[in-house]
Amino acid sequence: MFQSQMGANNEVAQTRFAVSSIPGQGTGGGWQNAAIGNQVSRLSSLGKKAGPNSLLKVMAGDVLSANVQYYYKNTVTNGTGNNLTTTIIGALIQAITGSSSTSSLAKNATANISSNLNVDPLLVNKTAPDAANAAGNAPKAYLTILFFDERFKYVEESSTSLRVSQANAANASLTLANIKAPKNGYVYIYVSNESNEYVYFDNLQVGHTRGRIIEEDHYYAFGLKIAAISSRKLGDANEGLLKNNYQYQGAFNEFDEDIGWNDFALRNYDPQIGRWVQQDPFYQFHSPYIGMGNDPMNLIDPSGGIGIPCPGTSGLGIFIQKAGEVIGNGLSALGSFSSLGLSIGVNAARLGVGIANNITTQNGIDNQLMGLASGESNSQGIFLVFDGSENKLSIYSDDGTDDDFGDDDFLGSYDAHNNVASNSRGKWEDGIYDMQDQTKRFTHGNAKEKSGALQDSPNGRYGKGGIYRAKPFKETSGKRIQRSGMAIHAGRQYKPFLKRVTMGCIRTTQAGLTAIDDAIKNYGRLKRVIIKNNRISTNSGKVSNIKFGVYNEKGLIERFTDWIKSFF
Amino acid sequence: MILSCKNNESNNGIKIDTLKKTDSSINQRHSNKEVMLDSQHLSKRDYTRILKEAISKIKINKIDTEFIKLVIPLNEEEFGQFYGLTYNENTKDTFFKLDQLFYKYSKNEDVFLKYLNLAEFADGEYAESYFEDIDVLIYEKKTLFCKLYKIISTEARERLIDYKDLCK
Repeated sequence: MFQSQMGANNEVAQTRFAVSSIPGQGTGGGWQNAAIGNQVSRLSSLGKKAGPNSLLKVMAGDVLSANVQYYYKNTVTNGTGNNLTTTIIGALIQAITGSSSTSSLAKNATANISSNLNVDPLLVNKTAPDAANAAGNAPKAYLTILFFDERFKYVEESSTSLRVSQANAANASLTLANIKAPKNGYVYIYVSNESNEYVYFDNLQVGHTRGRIIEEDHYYAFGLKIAAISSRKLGDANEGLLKNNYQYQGAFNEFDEDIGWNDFALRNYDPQIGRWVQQDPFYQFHSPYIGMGNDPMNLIDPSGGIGIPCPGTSGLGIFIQKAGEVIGNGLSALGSFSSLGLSIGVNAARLGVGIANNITTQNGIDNQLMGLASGESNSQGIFLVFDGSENKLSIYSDDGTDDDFGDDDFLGSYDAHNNVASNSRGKWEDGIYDMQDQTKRFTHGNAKEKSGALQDSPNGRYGKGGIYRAKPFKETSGKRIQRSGMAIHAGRQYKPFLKRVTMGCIRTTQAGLTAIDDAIKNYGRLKRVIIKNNRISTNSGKVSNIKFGVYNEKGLIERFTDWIKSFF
Repeated sequence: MILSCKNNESNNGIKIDTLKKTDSSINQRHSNKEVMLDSQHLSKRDYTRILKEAISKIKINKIDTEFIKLVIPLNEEEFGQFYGLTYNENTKDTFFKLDQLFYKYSKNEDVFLKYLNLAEFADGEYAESYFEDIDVLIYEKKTLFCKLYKIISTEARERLIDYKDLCK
């Protein structure tokens, strides 16, 4: 609990006092409380005034509570004045230095922090709340909660204290409950006593209920993170090191701390200079290296490919470029009007993504797993589950509760298989895959087979009406090959269902595909497909190492929610 | 990469060498980060330019054999970019037309060689049409196939191994 108090000079060690030595303790007087230990903390102006304390990293919305038991023998006659602030700040500085939850920035700036806090009148008042008031006969001993921002500037809001009040009461305690952290930063909780009557404390308990915000990032315009005011909660024992690969621009990237570049899907980006390291594969702007067309307030470039209107800055953004001069993945989200020889992309605001003040909530992370985009409500959409052991493809509507699939509606189940040819690149690994074709099937236009049949006709190779494809992804094992065109389709109608092997795709029935069409119409876009039990399936074909998680072109992202796990 | 393609046109001996060079450059990417960044960059930039040029040429119907030799993807990354044309309505038709031209111009030995090598990367739904097309071509050009089968990449050879018996 008292993680900030290390070494022999900490307040726990320095204020430790044997209960048996409390006056009257041996004769039935003193502090007769079965809950206290053999040692308690003794504070007074005659010795140590600051007692046990705890310095914790908090995010805005976290809820704190603190409770401590206390005992003092006699009432006192109080004077006025403040002889506590300097002591408390000294103890705080020691906590900053010794705590694992504080940043190196803070540790290196303790002198400045100390001098700034000593002259902050609000903090001075809070650390000695009754300095000007001699009234009352209880010692000026307190349980106090102080909040600080990331830079250890004192935050008055929600900071509070509670004074002892019951003399010679064995079971007296102080409780501060449901104190909400007003902003990201730190909370410092401590007990103190500035009177000359000894006050004994024991069993200081601090409760910390984490809120929904787990990370808040601030950026300069071109994406350099402002570390001093960005904040992330500390992962607990179960969470380990929390990593967020969806920061500036809201697109997956990996930050290389050695060279300070963000590795996006297509290019590396240097946020210090606002320039891409490689040339623009689409030559969208006058210079192939400039970040977001030198207009970061209005454009983002999520992959290093095409700059698109900034979500969040306005509900609607437009950019124009010559038709036919853009290729690749970046344009898939854009509608187009080509009759004037121009391509006009319209991109609605997206959830959970912003250029600045990019606050990621737990739901926000889940939204990214779900692939939410284009201003869509969390409650919209469907997902598919392919079970290789049962050869079934099931359709579910997603009700938007990220942590529970049990309340998602089951819409139907259809025969399906992943029997692949021996010369294919293999089946799907178990996992969760984002879909490329989310609102309608991909069709092959008028492309015909050598027989003259349309490819998307009932007896064409893909079956009637086209296919649904996953986004490109990378396998997790072996040569980590890139998979493209992995799809769900019906295949040739005239061939026996199970004998229609594929080159990797999942085959289902025409009825299954029609049901997916209908589900999209009724519930929203097709977000993802979950593949399970493909490793124990009796299907033919090779299956490489199986993991599960969310896949994209980088491979497996080792993050998933419990409800997804439960599918396996 | 482009220079390698041009070299391919001259004689069979160089073809083998350039294929090896391509393989070794890919290996280099994995062994050294800087090399990887550079070669990925060059590869992406060059192939992207080729695709952009293809889009323009398709519009005015000016695609010839030499250009098709350039457009056929040489590695997994390029295949990803090539297949990526299908993700956008504006470029989808270009993809289909190019794919038809790969087939059509495979009467040219160099194009056929590159088209056979594509067996290494063809995947998913694209592979289903690719392997049906390649099946037709192989039976049409058995002799040429047997000549080229010896020099295509190991992975492509493995995926076309069912046709090996044709060459006995």
